[in-house]
Amino acid sequence: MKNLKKLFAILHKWKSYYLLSAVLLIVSTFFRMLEPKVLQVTIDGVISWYGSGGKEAVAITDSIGRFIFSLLPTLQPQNLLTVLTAIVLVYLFIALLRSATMFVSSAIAAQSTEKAIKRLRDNLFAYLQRLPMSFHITATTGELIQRCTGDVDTVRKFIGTQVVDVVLLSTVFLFSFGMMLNMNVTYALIAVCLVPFIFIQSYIFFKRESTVWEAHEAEQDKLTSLVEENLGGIRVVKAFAREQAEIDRFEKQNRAKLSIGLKHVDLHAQFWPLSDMLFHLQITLSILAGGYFTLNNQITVGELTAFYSYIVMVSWPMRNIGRVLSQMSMALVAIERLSAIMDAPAEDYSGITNAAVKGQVAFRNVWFKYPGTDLYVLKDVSFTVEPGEQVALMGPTGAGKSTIIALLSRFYEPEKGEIFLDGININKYSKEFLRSNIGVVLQKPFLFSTTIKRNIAYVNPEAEEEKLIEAAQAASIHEIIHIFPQGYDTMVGEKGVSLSGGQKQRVTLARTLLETPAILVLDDATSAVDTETEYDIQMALQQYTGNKTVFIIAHRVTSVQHASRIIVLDKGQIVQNGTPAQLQQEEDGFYSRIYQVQVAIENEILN
Amino acid sequence: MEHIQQYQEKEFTGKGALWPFLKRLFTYSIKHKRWFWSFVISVMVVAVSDALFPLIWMYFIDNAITPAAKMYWEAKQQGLTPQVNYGQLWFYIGLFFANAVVQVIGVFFFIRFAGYIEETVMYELRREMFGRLQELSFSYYDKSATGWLLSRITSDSQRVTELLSWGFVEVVWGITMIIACLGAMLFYNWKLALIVLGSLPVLFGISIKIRLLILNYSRKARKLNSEITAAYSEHINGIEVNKITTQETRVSHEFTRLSDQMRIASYKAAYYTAMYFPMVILVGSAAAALVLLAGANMVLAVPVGISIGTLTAFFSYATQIFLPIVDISRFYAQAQGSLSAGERIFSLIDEQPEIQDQPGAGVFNQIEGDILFENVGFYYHPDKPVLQNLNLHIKAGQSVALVGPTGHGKSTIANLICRFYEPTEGVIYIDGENYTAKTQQSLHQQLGVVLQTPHLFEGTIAGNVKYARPDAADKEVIEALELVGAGFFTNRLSEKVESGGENLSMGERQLISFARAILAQPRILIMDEATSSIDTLTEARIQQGIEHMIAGRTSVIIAHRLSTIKHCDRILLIQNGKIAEDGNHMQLMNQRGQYYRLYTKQLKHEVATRNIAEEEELLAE
Repeated sequence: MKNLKKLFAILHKWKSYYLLSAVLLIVSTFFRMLEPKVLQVTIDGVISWYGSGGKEAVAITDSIGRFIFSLLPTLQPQNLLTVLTAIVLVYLFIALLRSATMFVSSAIAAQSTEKAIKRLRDNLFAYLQRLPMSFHITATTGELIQRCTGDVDTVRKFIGTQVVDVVLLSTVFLFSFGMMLNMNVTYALIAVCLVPFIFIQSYIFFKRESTVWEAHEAEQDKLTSLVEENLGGIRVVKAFAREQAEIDRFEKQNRAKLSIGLKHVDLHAQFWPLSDMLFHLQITLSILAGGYFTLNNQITVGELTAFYSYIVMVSWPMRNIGRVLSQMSMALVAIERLSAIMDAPAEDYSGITNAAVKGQVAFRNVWFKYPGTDLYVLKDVSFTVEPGEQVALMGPTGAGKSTIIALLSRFYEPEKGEIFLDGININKYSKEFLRSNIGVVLQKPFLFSTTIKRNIAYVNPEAEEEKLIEAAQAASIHEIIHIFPQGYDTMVGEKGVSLSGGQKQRVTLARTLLETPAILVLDDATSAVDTETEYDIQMALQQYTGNKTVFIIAHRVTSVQHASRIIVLDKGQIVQNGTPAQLQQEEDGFYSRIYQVQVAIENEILN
Repeated sequence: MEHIQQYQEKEFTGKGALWPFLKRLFTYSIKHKRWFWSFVISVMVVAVSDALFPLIWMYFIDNAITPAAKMYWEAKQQGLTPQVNYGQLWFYIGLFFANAVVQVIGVFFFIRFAGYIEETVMYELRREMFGRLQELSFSYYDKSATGWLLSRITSDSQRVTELLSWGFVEVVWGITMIIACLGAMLFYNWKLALIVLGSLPVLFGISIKIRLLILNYSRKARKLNSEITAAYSEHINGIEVNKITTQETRVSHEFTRLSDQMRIASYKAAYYTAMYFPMVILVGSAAAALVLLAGANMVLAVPVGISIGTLTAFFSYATQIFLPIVDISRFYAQAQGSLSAGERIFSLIDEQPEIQDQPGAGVFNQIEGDILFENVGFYYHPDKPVLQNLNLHIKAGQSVALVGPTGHGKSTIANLICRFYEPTEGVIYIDGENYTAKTQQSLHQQLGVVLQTPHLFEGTIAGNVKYARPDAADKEVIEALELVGAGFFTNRLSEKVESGGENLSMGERQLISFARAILAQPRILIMDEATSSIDTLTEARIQQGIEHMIAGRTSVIIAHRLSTIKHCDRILLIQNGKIAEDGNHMQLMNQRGQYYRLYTKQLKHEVATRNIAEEEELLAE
């Protein structure tokens, strides 16, 4: 019931169109039911009358047959052709109505489905963008994508085809059964006596089939990830001459997929013949009964032929409804999973949206642990950074450097303590405003698969060319972009060039530099750039950083040498805080240890 | 990355010829002779049995029902008690049942064999493709994105094999059905048969036309769908960037445009699908109406033209003849739709590896490691030569560092030594022998390669170290790890490595790949920027190991960091594809050339600024 409500929410304002489509479908099915009637009327009404030279009475006993018969002109010995033409016209008229209603019904259903699904897709996309980082960090990317594409498609098939199928199958069943009841109750009951068995057998099969299918999909997924991994590391495979071992590994999985595939085939090879057998048994039984009734003059020849059509119609929905029902259970799971996304709380974007940000940052006794973990990543962290200061954050992996930035950007809220920007608690600002004032270059460079230009101008697609080039030059990437035949219009990613880690970092740096905010954060942003280029970047950055507050997270001494202050973190606590020169004095400190390594290298060069 | 790596995937538009594709595809299923013919025959049996039902019905009505009904009526007319004879009825019930049993057996066999053919051919195609992928050279991977290669093995092979099984069922069933129905109709009444026959071209025309329209739009929808998937993937992966740059609203808005294109394309496809069935049903009904008109006339004609049973049989043939046509045209559209998938598959299978072992190639025994480049030239693209006329001799056991600006040929030299590429000009000798006269396998087995981005495979840490020598003992694994300065891994050997090694840090991954290279006991060690993406502490660790790693083997090391290259016997500065400077560290520093400038520029500056800072401190005091 809850799922039904969710389904209605997805159908949104197109619910009434679906209703209309269903009604038209029912009407269409009704017309379809009339078609065998025409043949019956022809045989029992027309042929028997003319065949016996008008002696034999018209033997149509049921109401629908009589109604069709009443549409024909009165039978007279000379007007056979007129009567037959009339019958044919009635038949064509019924077929036309059936086709037209069927078409309109499907077209309406298709249009409503596509509109509702587009709305679902758009909502999902926008909602995902609004969900907090805490959600995204715990969710598996592949699974989210699978939900947004696979599950959406399952829902689409559900509302576009399966709901239609259920309506169609049940009306065909009910109407053809009704038609038979209308002619002969006993015969009608005989004609459906095996139907429950056909239904049960089909339902059980499709339940079973879905478990085998799941196992099949699991093997298929294993195969896919095996190939994916192999292709990703193909250079390693070849470098170590492990091709044969890889082929053997693939062969094993390919065989596993084959054998579960064959098992799946065998299951179908069991079900369909059995289902066919039941179906034919039902029909044979019905013909036997029909023959008996006709021979005993309880039904006419025309009725028998009409019955024959209805027997086929009444049985086939039952074979298919098992399939539809089992597919529908899959759709319900999909709907549930989708609403799990839509029910997660989104980020709140309200707060101060206009203020002249100077760039003073202060942490006051901040404690923090990531949701779902017990370990404090930051313990009682306090520091103040004045506007225009350049602060380096150093420390081993996991010390809490990036967490400080995440808290400053309000991706998470501190558990205890407060963070201030220009003396105002950052939770007073709107998140959007706050983030637009902090330019962060992330540790892992992420580029979108579009042109380099669009990547750099990501924040402002209308940015001027000059500004773009300026940013690229500062990030020392302009020269490299120039080597590409299409320059700034070169596509990156799978559809274009693949950039090295350092090149990617430089493009993301240019992206951040394009709109220079009050606070600049470089989170290990030049780790993959060689020292020489890094030096160039540092020189160029001087013009940009002027009066801005800058945070630099880095591992290399060369990366932080321009900092006015260095804060060293270890296990969530600030262990050192001072100018580079001061920290150098603190023997055994993290900074001087790293410094020693570097100096050892330098000495060898300069001696 | 010495050259611009640009993926130049050929667009497979599927405009090629259908027939050669089908012919080639079907060689795969015909290969399984017994399955294939059992499959064809059982489908034909089913079709004939389908076509027989109306005929049995016809005889049933004419022989069992009508005469008995007439007798009953006549008897009643004469006031007698009608005698009902059930003999005929039982006979025809028996026929119905027998025909049903034959059909059921046919269904069992065709499902089984169609399924077997589908699964087996899929298995074979995948095996062929995967095997070919392992053979292809680096140059192929330079221009093919892995995502596209992956989909050939997974979805493309599924698409084309479906054509062999269920698609082919429809064709065989459809053709047999049409022939059987027409044959029966012509046999019983050629005039009525002509009416039904007349509807066939119309049905075919409509079917092909609408099917191709549907195919066109569903192709478009499929393309858009992959764009939508890509958009989701990108903006979920890049969510942090979107949030940091506050672009959530803009990208969501842009997405609605893509999503709307998708809506229109899928609606169009669904619209024509909605139109299709009503249209063929209408044409079928028109034929049935004409049969009814003409047939009823014949029943009533004097002398009687046809029986009532014949009329009902023709009526059901006329209303059902569109079914086989629907099936055949579906196959046609499906085949058209799979054409590009087929082209992708076969082009991969036909792709020849750029580097192949020569016929009768010899084998490298234990390599000493003497490498000689003689007038070697190389290009990725003929217009842009990377190396020209390069002469270089690396003695066995020597360790050589390649330094110099990006894009000037360092990696190319390393790749040529590994024979990942072959020289476009000149010859490379290893231990005095032209290496193209030997097998790649025997060279690669004696190489140890560490690349810039370490790639780990799913499994354990030990498994990854043992990658090149799976039979190595744990003791050897520990030794290798200790040798490269990663001794801290020794009690983490059975720790799980996720796909791509994402649960380990970059530095840890690189240390493992160092150990992996060493465990193979290579005769030639190649490191291509292996230390450029690791942090200072890991670098310090590796530094300790590098000396041991290069001992006793020829080593070629590309690096920017001095800590890595200072242990080398010889340093080559590569510029514009030429060796600009050659010597050991001290010699090159004394030359005061490019190498000297490269490594003092930054350090000088660093020292200078530190001194200023120190002075300022002093002044402040």
